[in-house]
Amino acid sequence: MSEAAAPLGLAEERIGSGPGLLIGLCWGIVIGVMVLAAFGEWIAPNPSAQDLATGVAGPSAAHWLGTDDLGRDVLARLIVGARTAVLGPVLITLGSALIGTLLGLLAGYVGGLSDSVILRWADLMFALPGQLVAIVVVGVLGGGYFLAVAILIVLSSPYDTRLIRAATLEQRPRAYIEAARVLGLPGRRVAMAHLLPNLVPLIIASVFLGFAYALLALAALSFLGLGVGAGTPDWGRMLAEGRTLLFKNPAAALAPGAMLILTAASMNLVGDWLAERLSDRGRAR
Amino acid sequence: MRPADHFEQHAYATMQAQGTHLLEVRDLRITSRVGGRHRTIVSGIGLTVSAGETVGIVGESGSGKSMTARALLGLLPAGLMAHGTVTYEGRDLLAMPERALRRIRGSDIALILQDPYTMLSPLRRCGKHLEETLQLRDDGPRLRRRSYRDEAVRRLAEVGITDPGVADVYPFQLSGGMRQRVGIAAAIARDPKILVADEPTTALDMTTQKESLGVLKSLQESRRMGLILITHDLRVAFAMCDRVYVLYAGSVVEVAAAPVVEAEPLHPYTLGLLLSEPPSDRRVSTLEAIAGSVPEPDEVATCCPFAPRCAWVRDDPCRVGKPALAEFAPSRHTACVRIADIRHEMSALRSSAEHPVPSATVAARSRTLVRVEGLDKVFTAGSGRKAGRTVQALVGASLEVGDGESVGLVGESGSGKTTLGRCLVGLETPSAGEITIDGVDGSDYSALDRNARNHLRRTVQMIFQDPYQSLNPARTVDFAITEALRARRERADPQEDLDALTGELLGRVGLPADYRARRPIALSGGERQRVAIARALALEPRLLVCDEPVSALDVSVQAQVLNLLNRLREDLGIAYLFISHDLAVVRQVVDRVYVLYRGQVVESGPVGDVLDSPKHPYTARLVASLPRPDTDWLESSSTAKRPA
Amino acid sequence: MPNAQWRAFLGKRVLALVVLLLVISIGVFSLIHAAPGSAEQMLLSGRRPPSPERVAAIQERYRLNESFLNQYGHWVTRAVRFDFGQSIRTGEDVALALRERAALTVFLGSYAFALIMAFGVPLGVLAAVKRGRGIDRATIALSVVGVSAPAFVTGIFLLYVFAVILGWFPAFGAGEGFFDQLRHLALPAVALALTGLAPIIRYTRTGMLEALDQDYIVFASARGLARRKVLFAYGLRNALIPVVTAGGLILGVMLTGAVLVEVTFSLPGLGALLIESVNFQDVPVVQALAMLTAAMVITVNLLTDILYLFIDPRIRFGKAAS
Repeated sequence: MSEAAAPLGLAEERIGSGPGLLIGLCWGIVIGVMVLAAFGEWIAPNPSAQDLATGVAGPSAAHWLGTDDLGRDVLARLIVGARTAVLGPVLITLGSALIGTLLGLLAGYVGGLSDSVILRWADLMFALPGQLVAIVVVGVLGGGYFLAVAILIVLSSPYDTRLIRAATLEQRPRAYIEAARVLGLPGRRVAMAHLLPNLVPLIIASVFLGFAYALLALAALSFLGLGVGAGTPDWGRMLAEGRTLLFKNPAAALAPGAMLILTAASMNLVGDWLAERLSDRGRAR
Repeated sequence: MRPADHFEQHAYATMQAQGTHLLEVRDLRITSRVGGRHRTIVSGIGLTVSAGETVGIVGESGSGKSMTARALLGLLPAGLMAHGTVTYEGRDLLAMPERALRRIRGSDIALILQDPYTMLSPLRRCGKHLEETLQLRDDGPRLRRRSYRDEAVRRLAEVGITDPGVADVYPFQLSGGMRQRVGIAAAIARDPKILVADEPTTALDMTTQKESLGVLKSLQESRRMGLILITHDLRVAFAMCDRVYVLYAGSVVEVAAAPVVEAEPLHPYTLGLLLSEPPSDRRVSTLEAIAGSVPEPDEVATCCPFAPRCAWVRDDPCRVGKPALAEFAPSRHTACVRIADIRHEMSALRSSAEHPVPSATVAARSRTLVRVEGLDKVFTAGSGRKAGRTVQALVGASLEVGDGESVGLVGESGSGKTTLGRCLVGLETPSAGEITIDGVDGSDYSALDRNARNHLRRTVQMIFQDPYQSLNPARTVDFAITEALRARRERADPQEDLDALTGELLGRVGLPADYRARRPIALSGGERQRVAIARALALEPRLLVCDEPVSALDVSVQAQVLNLLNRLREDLGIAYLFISHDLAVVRQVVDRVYVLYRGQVVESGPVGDVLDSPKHPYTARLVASLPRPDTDWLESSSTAKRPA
Repeated sequence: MPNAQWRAFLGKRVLALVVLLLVISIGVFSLIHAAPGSAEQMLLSGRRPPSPERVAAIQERYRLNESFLNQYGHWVTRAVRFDFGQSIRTGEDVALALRERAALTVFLGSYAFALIMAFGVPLGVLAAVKRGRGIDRATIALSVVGVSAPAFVTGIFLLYVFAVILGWFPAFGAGEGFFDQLRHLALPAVALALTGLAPIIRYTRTGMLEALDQDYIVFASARGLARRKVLFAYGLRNALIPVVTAGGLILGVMLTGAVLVEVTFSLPGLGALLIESVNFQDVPVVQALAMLTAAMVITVNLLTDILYLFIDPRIRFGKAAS
């Protein structure tokens, strides 16, 4: 397995009482956030209701996590904010994995000119500080959630491309690929029926690990005011707005921050665990 | 000068008691803990080594021989535990704290590992490996830095490296044989009394293997070291060792002096090992292969480990408990509990199996199927703008294979033999020269039209070296074979026909039909190679290019596959291009042989003639380097000349 | 490595660096046309109403009436002399504005990088040596949190705990003088370092585990070398190669990643300048910042490659490991 997706070995190392508990908890958080993303508006129907009279206040029975400076309920905004936290990263990782798989297979299996061109492109993208490019391009083009998503797809696809290319190059000289070529199978069949199934574990693991990266990158843009529009309930945005309220209602900033870390850490651990499990399954002795 | 002086007295007493043994291993067991469960890796080994003695531990993969070597120095990987006693100078090494053990390592007991390519740190110069070891010697005055270097150069000369410049190069700048010598020099830099050599030559070419073994033997003799040689090759053990311990699935099954074991093995496994070893001086009709494959030591920890594969097995006494090693005749130990009953049957089998059959007389040559003429292949390192050094793998190589003929292609690594095979099936495109297959120009597959290319595919198929990589880990046996059948037929056959054909092919390679649902992970190495053969046969080819098809397999399994290949040829009249480094193996399978040296064919002819009376000095050297199970094999080293 | 070969290597790498910068500069230049509205509107948006002289001056300066290629050529020749024009927002000279702000960002980035190397490598080694034990698990847990917690989030947590609750560190301000800065920038630097710590720990630990698993480690121990020597001269020395790559990348990330931390801690560095400029569509400043950081990152990458030559003889001798 190439270095980029080399598992941390957490599942193998067994933090605490074995992989079961920790990984189960992570799966729980991942699924929970997904549910909030899908049905958040039913659970907390009115996240933008203002109560200017109350203004900012600490946690209370009516508002478990308190209110922000416009008197909006932090918990409700947190629940509804799961939508933007999940939707964008899903689009980013799937888009990036799709581009990366196609380009990576093309570069690694077909090789030749396509390999040189794709590799040059990836090298150029690696030389750029990704976070900065996102800020500059999204900022100058005028911001917006889906613009940010599109830019992040472009920025993360070279990583997937390199990963898939490296894995393809590793598999390509193996005898089972060569045997398929000697049988006279067409190149497309060799790539799809033989190569791809052995790359799937890697792709799945990379989607999970990539999700965590996309989640944080998107939240960072929102935090800087470049992602979602003002007033939208979004964890990154809430963090920026709650930053000034640390003395009055710390939960307004800490809660969305905690959600970001928990979700990202769970995704990372689940991805790591999957990488370990899936790569063990088909591995030769 | 050891601080533990009070041990000396005790050590002396023990030395008296155990005679002249330098090292005595008693009931060594090695276990691992996986998820709270103990698994046996080695279940009870005893052995002794005296000064100036060479003992061999012989075993196939999975016998636990490498772990035994590491256990002797307290260097087991994390998670493995050794039990029992390893007595050296009256002290039990297994009970010794790490700090004290470190004083023994290198200075009293040294170790050389199997792979010369990974044994030396890639970031340290060769001389440095020696110097830092020399600095640890606690006898005599400490030397100046300069003197350590001189001493290192002197030590390198001792292992046959006369170029002092070698001390200043990095390991990756040397060949495997040279690296192994540097490793040996570093291992014995502190003049140890015992050297444990774990498969020291397995990764080397035949000719290099012989040279390295010669170096080891002469060092051992001149220093009167005790040498523990661990090997999978009985012939090497017989040539090098005074006494041989035969290890199988974690237990010693037989111990005796090397010539005695060679003359009459007293355990069915040893006999099986001897019989499945292809003889280099003659061809036999079939090799007496051992059925099945080596079990996990843990599975057979409570019965005779060989019971699952033994032809003479009886439930009682073989499976009722673990047979202990017992002295059957003076200085001859065996763990076979039925040896008294079966001894005569065993010798009868041996003498009957050793009847040679004449090497297939080269009959009137059949129609030429493949003709290769003046083949050149140049590889360029890097690509595009980075293109740098070029390597010429083939230099005007020519050969012919007749219809139904079995032709061998032998040579060492780097001789270009694999490249030639790959050119035939279109995996490489030659730089120059011609390949004609069944009347079609196969020099460049990509230049052919679809029909011609398909014709070539159906004429020539290939078996690859590494059975663990030749099947797609994500696909079942059924998928692999059905796909190949479809490639042959192109039109969609009804599924029932494909099923029937798949079953038939599996039967042909000696696998039960229910293997169809299995994935490669559930197959042993030998079984994988059988599936690979079945897949190639699905195209009904007339020539099978076999690229080292048995070199990754254990000897007992290798014999099964060689027998299978011979049987298939009788049944199907298929032709082989059999690529191998092993002359003894080649002799069992082919009619004619080509010897490849640095990309050129230096000699060819009927296999018996070439091996028995080689014309080219390189062939002679290859033949001489083939291990023979007698001690004068190593002495013959100086007679073979190096080709220019 | 012979001198001539060494010069050829260096020459080639520097040339590649220049080409890369040129490619990037085309993208950066295009930003003035990428922004919504015409380039003139954008460049003039700071003052209103624009006098005809101002419009003419802007058109003259950016050669807006000429072809794209000419505009670019003109822009890039000024850019290499570090002349990026005036800030739209403040009217201040761009180069001057950058110079004022750069010191803080460089200090913060280097501070974080020093923390990462000082803690990451030893922790990685420790985790590998004590594989599977408590310290290993704790280190892995720390690195998972680090990789999952961006600096702008940890920054807020650190602010809350150490500035608001405990009051050990100041919540705002950058401090004056070296030691005061060290104290003022401790929380931002730690927040920044936590993100970069994870990959360094991970690379060190993986590299170390891989190295410790090698035959040369067994062989070194079998010759009786001291454990410390085996661990460092054999283990760490071989494990260090991937760590150097990661270190180079992370130095780049630290220098650019200060943006979010500066916003979180309200520090007036280059990052804060970037965000202010981006939100104001102050393209000249954004262009200068983009070129500056790209140049920094690419130079660090080059230095990493050169460092490689010194630590890996296999590359020095142009031969891959077998």
